Amino acid sequence: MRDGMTAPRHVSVAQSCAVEASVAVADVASAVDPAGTAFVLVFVPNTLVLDDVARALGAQLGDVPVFGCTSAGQITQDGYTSDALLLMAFPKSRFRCASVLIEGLRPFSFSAIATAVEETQAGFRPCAGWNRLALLFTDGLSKQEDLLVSTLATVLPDIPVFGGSAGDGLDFAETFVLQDGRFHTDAAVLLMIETSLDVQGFSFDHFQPTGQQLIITRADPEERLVFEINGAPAAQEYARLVGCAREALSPEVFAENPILVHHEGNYFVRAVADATEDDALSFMAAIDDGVIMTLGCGEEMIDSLRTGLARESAAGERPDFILGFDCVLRRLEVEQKQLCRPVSEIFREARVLGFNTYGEQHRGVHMNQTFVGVAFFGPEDGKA
Amino acid sequence: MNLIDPDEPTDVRIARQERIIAALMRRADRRDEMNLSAYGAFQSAIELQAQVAAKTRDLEEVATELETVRGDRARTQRNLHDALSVMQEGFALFTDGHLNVCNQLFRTVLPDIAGEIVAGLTLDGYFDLMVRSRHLVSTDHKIHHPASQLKKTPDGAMAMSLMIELAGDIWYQLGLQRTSPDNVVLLLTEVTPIVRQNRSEKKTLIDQQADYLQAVFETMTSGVCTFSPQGTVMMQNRQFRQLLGVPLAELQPGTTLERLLAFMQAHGLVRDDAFLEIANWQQQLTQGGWLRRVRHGRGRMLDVQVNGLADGGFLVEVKDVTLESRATELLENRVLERTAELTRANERLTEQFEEKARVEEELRLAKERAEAAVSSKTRFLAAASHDLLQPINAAKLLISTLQEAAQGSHLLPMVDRLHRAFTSTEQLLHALLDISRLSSSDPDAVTPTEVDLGALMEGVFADQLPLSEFREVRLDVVPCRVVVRSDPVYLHRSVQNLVVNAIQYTEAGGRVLLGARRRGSKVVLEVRDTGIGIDHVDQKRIFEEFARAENAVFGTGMGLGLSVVDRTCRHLGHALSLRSAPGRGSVFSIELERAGNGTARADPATRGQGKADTAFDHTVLVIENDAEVLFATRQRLERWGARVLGVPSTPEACCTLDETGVVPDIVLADYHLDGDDTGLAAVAALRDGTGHHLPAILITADRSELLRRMAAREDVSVISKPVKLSRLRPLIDWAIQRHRGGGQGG
Repeated sequence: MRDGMTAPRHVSVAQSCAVEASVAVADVASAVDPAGTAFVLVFVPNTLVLDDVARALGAQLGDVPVFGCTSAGQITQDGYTSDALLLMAFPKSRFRCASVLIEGLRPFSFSAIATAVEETQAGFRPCAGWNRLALLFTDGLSKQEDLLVSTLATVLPDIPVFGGSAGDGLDFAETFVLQDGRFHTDAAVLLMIETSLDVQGFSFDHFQPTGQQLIITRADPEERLVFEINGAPAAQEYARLVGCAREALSPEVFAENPILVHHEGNYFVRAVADATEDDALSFMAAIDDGVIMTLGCGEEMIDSLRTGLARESAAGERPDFILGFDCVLRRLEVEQKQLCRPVSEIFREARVLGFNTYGEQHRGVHMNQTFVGVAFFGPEDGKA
Repeated sequence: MNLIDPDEPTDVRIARQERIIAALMRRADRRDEMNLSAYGAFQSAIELQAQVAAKTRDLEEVATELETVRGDRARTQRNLHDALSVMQEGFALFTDGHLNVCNQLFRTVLPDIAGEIVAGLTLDGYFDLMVRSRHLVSTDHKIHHPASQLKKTPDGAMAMSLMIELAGDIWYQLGLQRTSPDNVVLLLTEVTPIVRQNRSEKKTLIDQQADYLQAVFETMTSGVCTFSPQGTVMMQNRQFRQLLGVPLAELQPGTTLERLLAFMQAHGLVRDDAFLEIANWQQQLTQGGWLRRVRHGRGRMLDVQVNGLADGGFLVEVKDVTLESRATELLENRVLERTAELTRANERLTEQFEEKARVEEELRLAKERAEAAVSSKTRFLAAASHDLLQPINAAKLLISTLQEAAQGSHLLPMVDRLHRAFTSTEQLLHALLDISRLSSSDPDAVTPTEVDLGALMEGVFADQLPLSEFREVRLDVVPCRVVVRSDPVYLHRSVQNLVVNAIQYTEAGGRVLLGARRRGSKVVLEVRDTGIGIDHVDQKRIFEEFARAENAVFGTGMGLGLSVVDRTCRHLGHALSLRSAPGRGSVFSIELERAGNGTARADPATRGQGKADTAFDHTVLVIENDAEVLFATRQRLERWGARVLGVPSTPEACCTLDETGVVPDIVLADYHLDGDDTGLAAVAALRDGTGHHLPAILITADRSELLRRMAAREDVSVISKPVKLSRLRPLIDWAIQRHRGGGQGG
């Protein structure tokens, strides 16, 4: 254990920053007790060769189910880490799982997904007194997370779904999900979990709306491309509103100036991914023609992070660990503000383990620039 | 904030605005469509989120409330249990007819059913249990169908309340109360101490009462005996035994009435078979009581009163009424006697009454006869006076004429004597007639009027002067001017009688004084003489008819004069008194009422006589139906020097005047002429016939006021029979003179 922080008791965690895939896998596999492990989550940095990773995982972990995805960064026991291979082993004593691979997100087929998910659920007999949840890992460039998560909410009304979109560092080139020891693209993995631990899901961001409104006047919702904002070329208008030059638009700028959609007092972030040569803006969440959005501005990150992570069980206990899906744009902002160390400190203190995503799913909604967390609470004292 | 870059030119801005508007409108259109796009899903999802959040909040609120309510309810329940357990009464709450909650006390009141008193027990079920319990001895009401009875009572009212007696002299009061439409409360309160205390108090009271009653019983003056509803003796007092003569042994409690009656009959204590018959007793009792008086064997009378008592028994009261009954008998006897007496008295009275009626009848008859006699007497008198007076009138006139003719002849003394004798006869006759008239009860006998007393006295004086001169007695009259109320004729006669008496009973040389004096409102007329007087013994007697004083000289006066005076005064209410002393004289006085201011009607006949020396050469028409009187009158008048025409009736008078054409100076008419003819009619006819208002004098024996008035109305003077010649001549003179004087009235 690093820095004197106690390790989670109900999950085994290992990480490796080795450049070589097989070495990295070998490093992390030592933490796995194949017999006692129900399943393993692996978050892969985009520096590793995926085929190698897959092969190594199959060799090292054998029959243990491995799920995961590529990431835009990792949150390890050191906090924010880059290029680390993170492995989490969930013991059989506390966990059970069933998984569905959803292939072919484009074109989106509601019925196929529904059928597959229902079948899997029917086969996954519930255990009395254990809690159910589902984790979703999606191809972060599929642009189908909104539909997917909405569908899953419909199909699994009683199971909360938490998810993160697979990332590709900051390249935004290719993203993969891992299931059955193989990496898939244009796919999503739905992992249904049953645990005897108490579970709390949550999410938060640190943005408030400004008064500035943006109306999408021409867009391609399928591609999440906005061509015109307020009747003017999107990128230019965004630059004007944000108050910087068109040429200065960068992911950092995007990160600090998200666009919010408002509904009944709640604001949902629509993050800007990129500005194209045609002055169009590509978004990382669903947008639509004629939507009125608000320009958002960020608040203080540290406090909001600390507050957001302060989860307590019914008995007032701190979580044993938190599985975190942290948007890459948040990381960018943190790094820009050089708050990495305090943020990492906070992560370590809260025992947050997870990865940086290209999008987050929670409560049937696909979001951006949000931290989605699943807190696992240990049972009453005395039980290991 | 500005949607459009203000730096852009206007047209650009306008274009941009247009695009904004268009975009918004497109969106608005799409809103209602089923949106299967990613954004649509997103929107649905966030919509759902918001709803779920709201519902979750509500659920949390409800959950909190529910927790609170549960907590409250639990608290309440605990409080209720605590309260119930400390209550000293048994408490049970039945909700919707089933036992909801009760406390320990309630359960264990009847220990043998305690186990069955569980939640859900119905009200009727509880009562059934109670009734079946061995511990229950009695209740004061029958408990049945309490549920239905409860329905009838309004909320809050005590539906039922009954006393329950449990074994061991334990008492509870069970109260049922409906507190709300669903809830009924039963309360069991132990009242054992109260009941026991009540009982002992009652017992003490009853004992006291019993003692008191016994004392009262013993001291009562009537004999009292109470019987139970079965007819046996319960209580009796000494007086009862004594009065009936029944020993105590026969009146022990439990002795029946029959036995008692049998005893009384056997010992002959009561002799009244109906009384002794028990059936009668029963019958009378049902009729509500009996009061009977029986004779006790030992001579007492007893009142026996029997009355029913509330509990079905009866009370016999015996009173000794011997004295009473005796007194009653006595009273009754007395009453009978009195009644008999009264009856007899009544009979006597009836007889007397009848007798009296008879007597009255006889009296009435007698009165009628008397009245008849009187009226016949009056008629007789009237007739007699007229018939008697006519010849006397004639005789007087003739004697007067004879006297004048005998002047200077040797026959004169004889004629004088004749005159005097005749005068006496005349006076006697007048007196007789007066007495007769005065002694009758004819109210017209006297006619009070106003009389000039002075003139009357002068007249009497003038008339009696010759007599007084003859007897050589000095006669004086005191003049007076006073008017009195009396009958002029009778008064005149009375005064005349007194004066005559006075003259006759006075010796020669004596004095007679006639006078009157006032005495207050009265006038006293006095006739004083210095005569022989009348002694005390005779003063009473002399007023009687024909009585004479002893010292009267025989042959003087008449015996009737004073009688007339006496009767006159009695009739007229004048007080007549006499003062006299033998040898000294007498005073006769008559008290008269003074009359008003009216002038006395002067009786022309009483005016002072005129002398006979004036010429009397008048023509006189005399109407007189009596031939003798007519002759006598003619003779007299012709002697005086008048020329006389004499006729017997009015028609003849008229004829004569018509034939002769003579208008007489005066008419002298007798009132009573033949048939219906009257003197007044004659005068009227003559006046008519001659056309002159002839002076006239009516001659009549009728002295009634009525006639005088009639005459006065006709302006005819009246002179009464028998005619006083001394008055006649001056009257004729006066009448003629007056007529000639031109004066109409008289």
